[in-house]
Amino acid sequence: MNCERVRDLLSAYLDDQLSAPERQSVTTHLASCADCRGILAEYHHFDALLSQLPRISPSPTLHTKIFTSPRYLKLEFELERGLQRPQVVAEITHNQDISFAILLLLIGFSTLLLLRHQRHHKHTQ
Amino acid sequence: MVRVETKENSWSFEQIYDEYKTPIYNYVYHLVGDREQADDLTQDTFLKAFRALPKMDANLKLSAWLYRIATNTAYDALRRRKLIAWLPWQDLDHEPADVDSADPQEIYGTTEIVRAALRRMPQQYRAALLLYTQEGFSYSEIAHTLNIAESGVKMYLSRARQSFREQYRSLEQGGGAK
Ligand SMILES: [Zn+2]
Repeated sequence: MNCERVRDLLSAYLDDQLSAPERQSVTTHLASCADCRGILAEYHHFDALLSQLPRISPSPTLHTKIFTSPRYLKLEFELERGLQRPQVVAEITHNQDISFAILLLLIGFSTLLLLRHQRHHKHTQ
Repeated sequence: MVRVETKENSWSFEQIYDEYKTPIYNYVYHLVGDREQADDLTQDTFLKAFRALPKMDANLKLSAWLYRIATNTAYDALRRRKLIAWLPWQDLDHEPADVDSADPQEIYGTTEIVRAALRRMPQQYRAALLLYTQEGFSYSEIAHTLNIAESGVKMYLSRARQSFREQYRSLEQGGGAK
């Protein structure tokens, strides 16, 4: 294996992601190539630097910003109303059915009253 | 407090935020290299997640899923930024010119050089390198998060390390060369 080919495999070699024959070829090459050994050592060092990079935390105000944002409040409203839960949606439809039935009854009843009232008028005339 | 329940899990949004705010913010910050933008993108990530969470199924891997939303959100922002990058002062992908002067080690400590090298390497490989080194993700977790094959992860990490090394070395040696 030449240096160019080995350099494409060094990253996977470091992570132990090569097949056994590939791994063997790289190991053999590294034994006789100081340049490629140097790069492998650098990769190892960079991994350590990256993993030790200080973690950056969000400012405490981000919490407030998120949980008072219009988008969050809208979502919270929808979830509390149960608009995303099927059983509550069913309840609402059920309630609407009852309201509709009551409305129909009321219309029917008032029509009846109106008709009786008109008939009564005719009688008295 | 809003709780979201799927068959096997029950989460509150506040709990999710408290547990993941630092890892997600830190990840997004290192993807875009700008604190103010990281604030906005972290907010966007969590709000997208909260909205989608009630519809997710029970065996959702919350962590990988959050990183996936964060990655997509940050990359969308980077793409938008690239569109306006013809304005030279808005070209945030590159370090300011004063890095050329003097010995960068004196201006920058190792941490700053690492961050600058991350910003200078190609965006598409940055996520894989961060997930592997900073978050300790396995190849298969990275594949899942970035929605690519495991062989793709191998290639991304190889390219990432090669270009990180180039950028790091050029910064160490004087900073100017790209
Ligand atoms: Zn070699």
